[in-house]
Amino acid sequence: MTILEVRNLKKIYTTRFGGNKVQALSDVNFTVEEGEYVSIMGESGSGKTTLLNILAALDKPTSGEVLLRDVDITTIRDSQISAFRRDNLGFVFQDFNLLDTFSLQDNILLPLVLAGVHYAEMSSRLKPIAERLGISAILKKYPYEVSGGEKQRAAVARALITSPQLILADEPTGSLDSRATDALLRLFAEINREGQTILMVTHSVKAASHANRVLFIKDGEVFHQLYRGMMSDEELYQKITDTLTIIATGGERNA
Amino acid sequence: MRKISFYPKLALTNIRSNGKLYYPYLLTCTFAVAMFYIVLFIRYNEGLQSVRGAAYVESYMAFGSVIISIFSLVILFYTNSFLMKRRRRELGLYNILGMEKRHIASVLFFETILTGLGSLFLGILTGIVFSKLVYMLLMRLIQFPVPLGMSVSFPAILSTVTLFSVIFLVILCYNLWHIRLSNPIDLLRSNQVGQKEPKTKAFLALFGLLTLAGGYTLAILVKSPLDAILWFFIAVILVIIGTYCLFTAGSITLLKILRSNKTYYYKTKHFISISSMLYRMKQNAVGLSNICILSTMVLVTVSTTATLYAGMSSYIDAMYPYDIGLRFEGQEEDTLSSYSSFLEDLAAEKGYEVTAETWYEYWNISAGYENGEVFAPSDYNTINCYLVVLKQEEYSRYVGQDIQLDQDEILLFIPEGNHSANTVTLFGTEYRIQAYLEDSISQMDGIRVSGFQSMLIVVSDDATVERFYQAAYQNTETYRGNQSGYVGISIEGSDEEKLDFYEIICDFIYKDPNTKTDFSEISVPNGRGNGYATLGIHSRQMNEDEYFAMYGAFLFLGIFLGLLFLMATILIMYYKQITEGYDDRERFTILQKVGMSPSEVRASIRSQVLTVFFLPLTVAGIHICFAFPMIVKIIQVFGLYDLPLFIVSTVSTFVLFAIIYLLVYTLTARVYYKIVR
Repeated sequence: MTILEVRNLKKIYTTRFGGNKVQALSDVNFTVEEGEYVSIMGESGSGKTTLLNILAALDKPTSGEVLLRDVDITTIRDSQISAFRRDNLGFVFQDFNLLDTFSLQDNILLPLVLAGVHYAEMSSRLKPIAERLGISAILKKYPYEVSGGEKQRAAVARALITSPQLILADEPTGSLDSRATDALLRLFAEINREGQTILMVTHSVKAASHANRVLFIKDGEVFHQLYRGMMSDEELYQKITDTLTIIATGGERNA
Repeated sequence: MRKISFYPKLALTNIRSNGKLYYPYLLTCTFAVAMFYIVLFIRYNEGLQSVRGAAYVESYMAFGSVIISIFSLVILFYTNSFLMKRRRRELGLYNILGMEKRHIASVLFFETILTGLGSLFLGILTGIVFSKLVYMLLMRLIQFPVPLGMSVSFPAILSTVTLFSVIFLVILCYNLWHIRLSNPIDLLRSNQVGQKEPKTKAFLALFGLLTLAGGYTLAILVKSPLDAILWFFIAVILVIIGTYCLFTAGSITLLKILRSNKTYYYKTKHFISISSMLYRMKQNAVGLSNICILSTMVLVTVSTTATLYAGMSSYIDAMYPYDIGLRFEGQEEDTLSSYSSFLEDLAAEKGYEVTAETWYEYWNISAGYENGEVFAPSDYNTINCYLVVLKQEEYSRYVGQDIQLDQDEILLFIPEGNHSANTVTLFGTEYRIQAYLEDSISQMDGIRVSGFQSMLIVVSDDATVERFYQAAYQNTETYRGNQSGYVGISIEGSDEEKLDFYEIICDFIYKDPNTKTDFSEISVPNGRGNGYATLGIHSRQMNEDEYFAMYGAFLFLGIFLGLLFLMATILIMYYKQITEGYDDRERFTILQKVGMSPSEVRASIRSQVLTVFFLPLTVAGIHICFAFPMIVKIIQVFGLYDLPLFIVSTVSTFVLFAIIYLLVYTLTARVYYKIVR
């Protein structure tokens, strides 16, 4: 079943003084099925971030549709968009975006508190997730007291706690060392295996090679995509590298 | 040549590009310099010498200049340290880009020189422009005409330059010392260090609660005016300590208690406010308690001095009901009437028209007082009551109507307390109170000031007076209240003519012209065998001038210092808003990403900022309410009993202050929102 469908997405930025128009996305089309783990790759300036912002309902496209379970998120009214985002999407960011003033536990519970969930319900939801992510022991600690990997796990817990339709991850391994990166990618693979749909934007080949499918964006379009099929992580890694080389050296579409 | 001018140029650029931080600082410096110059200008002004009561003005201004200099040092230091904290990153960057510490030091040196010179120049210029205006304002307050014209006081300029050079030097040293101690990485990173969660200091919170309660209790419980003066400063210190403790420790303890209540804490409305307030209070508690205490000071100073000034004329009316008054003690039987007719004759002879005159005789008696009963004191220490006793014929003459009292009847005036009792026991005998008097006899306002229970009693005859007298002094030989008298006369004419007449009377009464001074008293042997009679002469107009000088200068200083405190309050508020703004910007971006809508974020910011900024004003209001009874007592010492006047002046000062506060808040909030968005 299709969970996310992106149709003819186009985004044009007008510079502040109205002169130049910059086309960030020209015509993006793709779908994500339920339970998929998709990476989006692309170089800086390829439109990755713009795409993610639109998917996250943080930005509006110039034209086109984004259907999340058949609801067009580009037409949701501003007053409801935050609640929609809170209820349906989970976010994991490169720089964690944890609040210093909250303990990890409170950071994780934040979306539930904003949604007005009862405390009893909150703690019963928190427990399994914290155990699952191995952060039960540090829940009382503050973000500045724990390592980057632990911070990112707390951020993942925050994304998971609302049981979102879709998790959007923006360079989640960008601020982590290799060991924490490996752990996080394993974690993503595991929660994906348990049925969670994940869409991850990255330019790390290693991160992308853990996904089931890799989309390549170039000049505001989906340039190419790779399916894992029966490939192992290593084989996919090789394949991604080849594709990137072709993109960088100016290969033809679908080469 | 180029190399030399590089640092000053860089310094200038820095000041310009940090305008949001620097201009308020410059403005504060300028303002402080100008105020200091103006106060000194008044103090050194030669025109002041012709004012009667110039000594008051001068000593008040000297006091004012000390306050301003201390305060300037503190507030400029505070502002500067704030600036330096904000600029650490920039300075760290210079260091990394290849500037050595001595180069940074020279940039800082030029910055200080530029700010120092600039604000001294602007400040003194502002001072010179406004000094005459302020001086005229003061002279208007003390009702003394001044000629127009501009003047510059060089000693004032010299002192101002000296003081502020020292202050800027101290600030420069602090900055250099600060730079020396830090390494570039620290400088670069210092803005991003995660803040530790504040610790609960329950003990300190409890201590604050106790001191505050202690201060409040003192203020409420104090009964007599003299005690009020004695305890006022202790109460003030207790309240200041309490305020600091409660703002710093109390607020955090309270928030933590709220946080530990899970079902309360994990609610959309409370969750973000409580946790953010915890950090806000940690950062701002001291600043907020400063604002609170400064606001309280402004309110107390201005409302009290305004009340004293506004109530002055009624006080003068009470103390000096006649243009010229003669006070006697231990006089002989016919002294008063003979002096009265002597004054009348003298006025007629000199061609003055008498508009009013009076004379009456009375007794001062000290006694003990408990449970509504007046009794003879067993020794000097048990004296706590002060009686003024008049015979009915004296009182009849004073009020100009015939009063008839029986032997066991009295008329009674008590300054405070209920008027319900029908009888009162005086030295063992019960007297029926025929009527309560509305007013004391003017000129005897001393009756209300003493701090004792005091009363004015009108009795039927000599025998009753004698009985009181004998009873009161049966045990104590230490001091005997005396028979006293008053002769008052008013004439038609200008203040000058009245003063002339006063001089004439003095010439007649004090044979030796060298001894005549305002309050000097002469002694002549009296015929009653208990020593000497004394006589004092006073002129209403002369005292009026002195009172105007005293209270006018007092009010002036109140307003002036009020302005200074207000400026400090505004400055602290402004910088608080900026700091908050930079800190909050990041936090609110995250909250929006996690699913808070922009309008929810705005509402949350609003409620937090409002709480933080109106907390000090609210607490200041509470302080004022509790201080009120005490200040009422204290101004009684100054002879003021007009409670409605004081209420009006306090309330209007508070309202005015709240409006200014609100205005400043709105302006600074705008800066804040600009930063956050």
